[in-house]
Amino acid sequence: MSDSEKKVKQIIRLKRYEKPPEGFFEGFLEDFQNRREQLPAHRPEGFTAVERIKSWWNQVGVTKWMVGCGAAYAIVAIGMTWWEPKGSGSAHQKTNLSPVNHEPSKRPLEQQQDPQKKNQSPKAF
Amino acid sequence: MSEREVTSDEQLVVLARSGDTEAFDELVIKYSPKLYGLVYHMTSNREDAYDLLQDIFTKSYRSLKKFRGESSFYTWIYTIATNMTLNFLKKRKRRSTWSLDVIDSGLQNDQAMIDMSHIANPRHQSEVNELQKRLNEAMQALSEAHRVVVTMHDIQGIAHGQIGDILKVSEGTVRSRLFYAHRQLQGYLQDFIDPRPDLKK
Repeated sequence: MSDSEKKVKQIIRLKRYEKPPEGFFEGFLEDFQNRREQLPAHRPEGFTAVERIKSWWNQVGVTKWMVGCGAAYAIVAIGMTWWEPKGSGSAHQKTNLSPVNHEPSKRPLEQQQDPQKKNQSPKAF
Repeated sequence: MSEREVTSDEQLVVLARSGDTEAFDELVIKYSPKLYGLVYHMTSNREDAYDLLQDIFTKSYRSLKKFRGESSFYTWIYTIATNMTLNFLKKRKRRSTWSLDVIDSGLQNDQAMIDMSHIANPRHQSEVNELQKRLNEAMQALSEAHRVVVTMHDIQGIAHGQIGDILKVSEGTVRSRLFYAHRQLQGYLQDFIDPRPDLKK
């Protein structure tokens, strides 16, 4: 260590003897106590877990966005799978899962009538 | 304040975490002068130092549950104080007016200071005041990164390795910054380091 450096360190020692004026800390503790009273009251036990999750989330950084997007995609995909809009043909298929036993009709559709209505005569006015 | 037996910091922390506010008050009383030194030497403003100290203790009180005991409580709160002070200085746009603290009478008994009779004899108050002002200016002319290592090592006597742990830099970086800071301070304090011939006996 050079002579000049030694002298600089000696001069800096002067600051070790600096102290605040008399009474500087008199109201310090009281001020701190007042501030502490204004802090949020004791939190419930469960809140600690929420705080931990928040702390973890803030620390994850860039990765959190990837996780969030993946979770959002999964939620949307699941939602689209289970939710069906009205009027969709597939709704009928979903409700009736039994295999369809298709037998072609022997008569054209317009000739297929309700047997009960077959013998009814038209109403007279 | 209620009387209690002398308790260790660990015991006070355990009590404070369980809701004993008086236990934390004891920690405040114990460490506020030491932390004041750090904050004041960095800011050179007494009012800023007071407000910042309040913020530091408030934050440490709220973060008490995160203190795992891996280091001493003093090291933990000192780290908080250092980080908050550096952040404060970064945000402070304009330089506040400087406050000069009084010099403790213990200076007169410091052999190292007395030996510097050609620089500033503690028995000559005017010379001490002049040196104090010049030293304050020189410290404020340093960057925060250099000022903090001078404050922690040269003024508060903290070892290089511990400074590195607190600032999260290597010990080599601490030594390098100290070396550079001393060179800077030499330039500012040249008049006091190289005495004028007429001051020599």
